Amino acid sequence: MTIENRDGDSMNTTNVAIEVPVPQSAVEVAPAPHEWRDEDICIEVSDLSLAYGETAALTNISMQVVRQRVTALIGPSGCGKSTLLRCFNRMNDLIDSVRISGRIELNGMEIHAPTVDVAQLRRRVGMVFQRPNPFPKSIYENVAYGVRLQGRIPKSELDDRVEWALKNAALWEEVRDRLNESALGMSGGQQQRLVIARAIAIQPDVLLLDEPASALDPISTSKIEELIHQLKTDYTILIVTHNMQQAARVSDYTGFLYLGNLVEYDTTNIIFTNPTQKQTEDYITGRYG
Amino acid sequence: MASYTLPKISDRRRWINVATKRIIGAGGVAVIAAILLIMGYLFWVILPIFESATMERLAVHQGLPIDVLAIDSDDSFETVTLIRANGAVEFRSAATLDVVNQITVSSSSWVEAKRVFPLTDTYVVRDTNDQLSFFRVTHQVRYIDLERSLIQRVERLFEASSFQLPENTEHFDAFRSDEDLRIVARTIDGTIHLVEFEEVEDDFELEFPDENDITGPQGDYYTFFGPRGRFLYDVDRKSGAFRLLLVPSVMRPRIVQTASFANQGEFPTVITPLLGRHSLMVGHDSGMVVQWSLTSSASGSILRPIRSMSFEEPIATLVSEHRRKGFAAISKERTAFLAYTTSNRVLAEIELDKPPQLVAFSPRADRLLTYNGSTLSVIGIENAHPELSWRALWGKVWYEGYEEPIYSWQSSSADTDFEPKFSLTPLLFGTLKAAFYAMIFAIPLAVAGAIYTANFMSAGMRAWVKPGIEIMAALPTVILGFLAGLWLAPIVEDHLTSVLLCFIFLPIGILLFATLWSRLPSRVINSCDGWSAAILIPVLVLLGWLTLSFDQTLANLLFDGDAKSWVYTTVGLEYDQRNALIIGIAMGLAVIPTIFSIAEDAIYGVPQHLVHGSLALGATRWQTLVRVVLLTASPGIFSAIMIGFGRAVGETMIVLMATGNTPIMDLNLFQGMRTFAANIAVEMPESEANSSHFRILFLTALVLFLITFIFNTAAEIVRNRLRTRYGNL
Repeated sequence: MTIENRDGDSMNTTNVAIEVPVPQSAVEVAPAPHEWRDEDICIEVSDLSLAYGETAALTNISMQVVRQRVTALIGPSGCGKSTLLRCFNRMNDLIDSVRISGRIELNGMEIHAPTVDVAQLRRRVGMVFQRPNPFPKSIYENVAYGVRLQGRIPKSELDDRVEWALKNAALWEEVRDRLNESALGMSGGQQQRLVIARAIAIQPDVLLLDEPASALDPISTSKIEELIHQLKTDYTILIVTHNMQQAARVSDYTGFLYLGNLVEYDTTNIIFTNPTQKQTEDYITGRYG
Repeated sequence: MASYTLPKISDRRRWINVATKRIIGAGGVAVIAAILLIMGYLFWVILPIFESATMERLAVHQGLPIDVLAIDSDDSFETVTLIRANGAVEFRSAATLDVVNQITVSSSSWVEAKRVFPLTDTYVVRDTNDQLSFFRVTHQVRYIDLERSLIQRVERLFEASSFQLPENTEHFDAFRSDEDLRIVARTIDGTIHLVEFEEVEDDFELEFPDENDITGPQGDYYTFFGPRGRFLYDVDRKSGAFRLLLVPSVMRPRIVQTASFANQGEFPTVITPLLGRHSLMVGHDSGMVVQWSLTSSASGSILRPIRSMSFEEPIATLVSEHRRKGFAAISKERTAFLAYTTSNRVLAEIELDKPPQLVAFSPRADRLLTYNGSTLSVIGIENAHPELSWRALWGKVWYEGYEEPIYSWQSSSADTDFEPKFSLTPLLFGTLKAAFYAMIFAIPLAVAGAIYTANFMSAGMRAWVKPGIEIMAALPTVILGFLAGLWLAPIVEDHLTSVLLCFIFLPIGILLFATLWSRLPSRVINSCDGWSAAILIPVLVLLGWLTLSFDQTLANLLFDGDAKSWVYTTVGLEYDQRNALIIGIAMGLAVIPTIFSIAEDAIYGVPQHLVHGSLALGATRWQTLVRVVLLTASPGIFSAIMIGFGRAVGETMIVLMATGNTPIMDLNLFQGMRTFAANIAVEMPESEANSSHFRILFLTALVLFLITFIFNTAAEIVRNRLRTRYGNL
């Protein structure tokens, strides 16, 4: 199977022997970090430190996130993986006592620069939270919400956009007949896919998924994972997860965080089969976490 | 196999469970029972209003003297008084009509006896020599050896002196007030003889009168005094033509109106004044009874028809009640109808055996006596609240003396012949007006305050502000009312210009300051993030103080020097010191804590994950607030407003002390009003138990209860719908 990447290069895909089953569609080789080219990099983090008041949450994180790939962040509870994720769309700004140093560049642009409009940044960097959080509005209005924020738009165009987003979120067939019903009447898995549809309706560059399946049942979880596979052809995805099988299944790259440090960051294959750090291996094999 | 049993619940725990269940259950039931009891009591008091009147023949007594000139009875209807032509006043037991006492007043024979207007106990009699004599009949309750007995007395007035009527007097009438006695006599040739004895006391002799003769048309005329003896009605019994004379003194009578009671060419059959003689009831053969009332007009008071009632049988006799504006109409077909003017109702009817010669109400209008030469019928009347009807309570009513039908609440007066005005509409209007202005003041402040406190204020400041405002709710409203009426109202009156301008300047000032503030270096702004509201306080105080101190300058600049007179002359609004503006501010302050607290809870309770979801989609704080937070909190905000409104409707002390309590219907911001709650507080202490007034006050309480009930129910329904739509809270 051959997949075209952005540059038009074709890459051979080989089966990767990892312990967890991987859906066929995801089988491909992600280039190792030393093969990354500058144009592949979507987000560049350098020396990022973050503290809540006096408590350091992230220490000197440096990493690069590859365009149109799924990057998973794993680590034990409290390791700072969600905090790191929330740095990318500056959601940490909402917490009064946060202090941040270091740089995060999105497509080469520093996101903390004073000229940056946070609202515009968040339109480029969508986010899906752990708990499904649809607004108390209809299914249609939920998806249309982000689009409407950007200004008036003709009804037909909006309809098209909503349909497009719901199709891309693999929800269209289930809800096409009840777009005007409250989103609160949907199941948890549907709600989470609705939230994803809401996020992609504004066509962001990056999608941040903060444990998107942790509150869902196994069937809903597998649907979300399938969706992530489909979405990565268009979006750069960062996912935080507690579920290591999930990370192995869906991601191309995995970063392991421990106590606010990025211990190891490599292709998912390497992290799960041949980690270089002992801490990583201990975590992967379940010694702690 | 080892047997295993679950441990039994201990007696103690079971006892506690049962007791808790019972106590909580009893508490719940008791609350509902208490509310139902209050409702039930209100209904029980109100119910008699809606009972219809009844007339019932109680007794027919035969064998009475045939020479009775007038019938009367005492207040409690124990004695019937007969004034006989033989110069005697006879008292008979009301039950048996046996003679209990007979007092011979005069040795001469009488031909006519009538009450002296407007007294109820004083009679004037005309004897065969055309001499008028005056006497007073009194019934006194005495306890002799603990036994109750009624003592009747007849007392000649004016030292038994009498007044000689002119020859050929056809009709006469007498009026007595505290200081004077007036007599009018009309002779066959049309001369009206007016007599006045000034400053006459009961024990003065009748001498040295002012006398004046005026000429009128000849005919069968009925001439009698009007209100306060200052009016004189001169009515042609045949054609219904009448003249209304104003008699400030008998020497200077003046004709103010010449017209006719004839109704579409139909001559009246009978004319009787109502209590107080402000109106005349004019009966016709068609069965119509028209009420003509003295109403003010450009040329002074004139008689105008204000109401007509149809009895569908030719009217023969009309007799009015002694204490209310009710009357009985007796038709030529011998039906006696009971009717009431204010409520425009025919209340009851009964067939009589014979056409009566004399008809009289007992003083309390609980008996109707009909006398027909030797036969006296006693008709019992149950008619406690004839003045009330749905229309009289809510609609426009044409009251005596008014130029047009109006809504009016005027429940009592010093005059005994006063027509009570029980329209609830002005009170409902006042209630809603007060609540409206209070809500206009309170909603923007409370809701905007709640939004700011919940969304933008730092946690530290919120911890002070929220309890602070909630404590305001504990402030006794009597203090707010007292401050509003005695402190705020005069200040607003003296500084009307600046107070009005404050409503413009303060918001503009806040916006200007906010603009300036946002231009400051971000270091300064960030240093008091979430506390910026506190910085507004000195700004607002300074602005308010500046506006107040330049009051006169501003008034000169904008309102020709005086806002109050400018409002009156230019806008055409009258200014009361205690007005809706004061109420808006004072009652607004009283309801702000309620609205603020509930709305703030609702807004603060909007889940953070919804806010974050919105922000993560690139919404600004403002967009998130409007499109997600307020939407999700809308059921709570709506409840807050409705509860605040309910509070404003039922609020008593503030409106009592700061509205002036004038029951007028005028949306004018600068005029007062009277609300249901204040009305109950003002009038209940002076209301006679079980009177119509008393029961209407209970009715207003029920209406108040219903208003709050309806609003709360509507609010709850709307809130539930909003909640199922927007709430996952």
